[in-house]
Amino acid sequence: MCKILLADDEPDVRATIERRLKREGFEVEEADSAAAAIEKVREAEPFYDVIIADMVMENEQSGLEVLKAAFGRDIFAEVIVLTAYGSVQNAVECMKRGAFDYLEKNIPGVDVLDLLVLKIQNAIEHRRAAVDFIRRIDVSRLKGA
Amino acid sequence: MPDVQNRALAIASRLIVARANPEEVLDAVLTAAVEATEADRGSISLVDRHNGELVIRKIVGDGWTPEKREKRLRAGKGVHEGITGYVATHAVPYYTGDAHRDSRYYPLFEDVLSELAVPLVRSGDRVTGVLDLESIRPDHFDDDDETLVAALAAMAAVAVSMAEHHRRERELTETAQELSRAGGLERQLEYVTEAAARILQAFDGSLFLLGPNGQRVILAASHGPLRAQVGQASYEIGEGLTGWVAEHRAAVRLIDPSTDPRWAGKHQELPEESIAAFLAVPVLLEGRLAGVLRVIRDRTPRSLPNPFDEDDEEVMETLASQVTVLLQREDLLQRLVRSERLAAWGQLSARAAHIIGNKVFAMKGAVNELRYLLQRSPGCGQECIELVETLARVLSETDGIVRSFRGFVAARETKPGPLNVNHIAAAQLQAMAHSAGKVKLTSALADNLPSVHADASRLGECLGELIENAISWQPDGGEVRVSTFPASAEEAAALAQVRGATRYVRIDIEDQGPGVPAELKEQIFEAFVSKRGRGLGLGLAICREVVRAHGGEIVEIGTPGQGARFVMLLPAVETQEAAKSDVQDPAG
Repeated sequence: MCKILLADDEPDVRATIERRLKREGFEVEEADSAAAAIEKVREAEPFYDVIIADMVMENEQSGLEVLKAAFGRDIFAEVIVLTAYGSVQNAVECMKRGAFDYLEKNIPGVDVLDLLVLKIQNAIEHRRAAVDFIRRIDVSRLKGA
Repeated sequence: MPDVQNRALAIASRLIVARANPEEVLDAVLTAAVEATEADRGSISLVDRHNGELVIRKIVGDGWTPEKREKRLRAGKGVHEGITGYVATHAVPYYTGDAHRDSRYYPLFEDVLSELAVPLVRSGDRVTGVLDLESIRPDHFDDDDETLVAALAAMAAVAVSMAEHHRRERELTETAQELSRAGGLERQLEYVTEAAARILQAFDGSLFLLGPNGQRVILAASHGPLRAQVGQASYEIGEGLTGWVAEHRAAVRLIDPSTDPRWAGKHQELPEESIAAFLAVPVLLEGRLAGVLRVIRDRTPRSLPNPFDEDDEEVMETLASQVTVLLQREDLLQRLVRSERLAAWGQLSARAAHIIGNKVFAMKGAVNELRYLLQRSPGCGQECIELVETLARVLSETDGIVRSFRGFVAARETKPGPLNVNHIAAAQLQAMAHSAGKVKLTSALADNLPSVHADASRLGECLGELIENAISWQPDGGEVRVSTFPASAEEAAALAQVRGATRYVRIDIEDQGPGVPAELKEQIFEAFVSKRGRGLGLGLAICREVVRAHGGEIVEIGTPGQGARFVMLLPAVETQEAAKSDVQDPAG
């Protein structure tokens, strides 16, 4: 079963996403702040397959902080950043720094939860492919390069 | 001319040229006059404008007691005393060789038989004092003496003017310093009117400022009897002398102003029969009228001619420029407060939009889940499905409202750079082409249009909104024309009351729809005013916010019934600045 960390400071948002993800068969852990998410990222064993983080929690850069912590733990971490109105600019910055994708919570005429599920599945595929690729190559040779 | 006279003139003129202390000049002039004419006594008296009395300032010769020095002779039509008073009143020299038989003579000294008095004339017929010589011999003075003393008196008059000039300069400097200490614009403007009256030795001063609609000047400050009418007394542009100054942006300087045909007699600092002289200058802000500063001199209790002269006008111009500085500072301050308030409002709104957005997202998720569950429960009827659909629709609309609200608040968050408006216009016309339907999109974009400092994406959205708006009003076809032109500061001020830049870029968006009724021309730019029930009515309000955030303005100037014409004015980048930076081209 795939393990997902969901970080958002809005309980209703967490409840909505968690309900849907559980219906899709994912195991979901919650964090209500960037700080809580970072702690979980450091301690989780095994590591999360996908991390979903709201861009704005304690501050405008919360999503970015979670992203940094995730890469500090695992360079193949897959992070999807959630944004509300007006924080797209910061989400784009997250993409530049290696986030898998970002998702606007309110896109007119789109079922964003469907889209989120799709993105999570893509992220899981992406992570799996990367990990498989690394397993297949000679790690010692990589170190020598 | 005898040597002694030549020497007298030479000494006095050397002192003047050497810019000696005015007191020294008066001393030298009086001594030279007494010596050259071989007079026994001499004095120089100066006119005290407040009471029309002649105050003795310099004396030469024997017999002067403190009582005699303190004697004040009166000047003024019908009230003058002595030959000195007569000369001061009529501004003409006068001499007598038989003083005791002369009805004009005032016997200050018993032994005097001849007297020669010459006025110190500042400019025009304004007498500042009298040089008086006395002799104990009969028929002592002649025409030559009069000519010589008149020449010396002219030098004394220059010295008095210089002293006056220094006093004014000092007081103007003090006024400028005092103004920076006085708190609040109201108090500062009042201080200017006080200073005008004090420095010019006038009875009263008043300041009128251009009203908000630009049609009238309204009393903003006065320190005398008009003070109670501040904010109420006003002149239409062109009405009365004050209105004339406002209309022509030129000074007016008059004696007996109430006899002037332009005189309206509306708001005076004194009853009109008591006003002896009037001086008003325009207050200009970046070359445009901002107000009128005026002063009056009163007639009572004396009847000495008391006109304002060119020097007085210069002092008033200096004070008017002080008012300009005060107004500019106030304007800047207000703009700062406004922008800070907007920034705070923006932050608050962004936060609110974020929170509401999260709630909307959660509700949408819950509705989706509900829909999912209902589809799987056979017991649920069509009614439940319809209710869920309604919930979903209303949520989606709520989402739209928050989104456009966020757009309105974000309108002022611009990331400007140098920009060619023609590129933006062309790109927007191209983007809109597919949705124009039967409407023809045309353009007339000016060559060598100056650059503007603007946010390409916000300005593009703005133009897009205006073009879309124009298309939507012509469902049966028509034309939308986008034109660009360079515009002068005067044109920008006249069209949209926008100020601050030396030149502008003008963008017109015209359509052939029904146009905008006169009473709605301003209202359409207000937030939440929609005439078609399309959305929140924030489109034009956002446009105006965006344009204003760029230091420009947008207005609608079309003829109702003949199509709308939106005019956007944006400050142009100064040539040097434009030359330095590469213009960004969003289309390329």
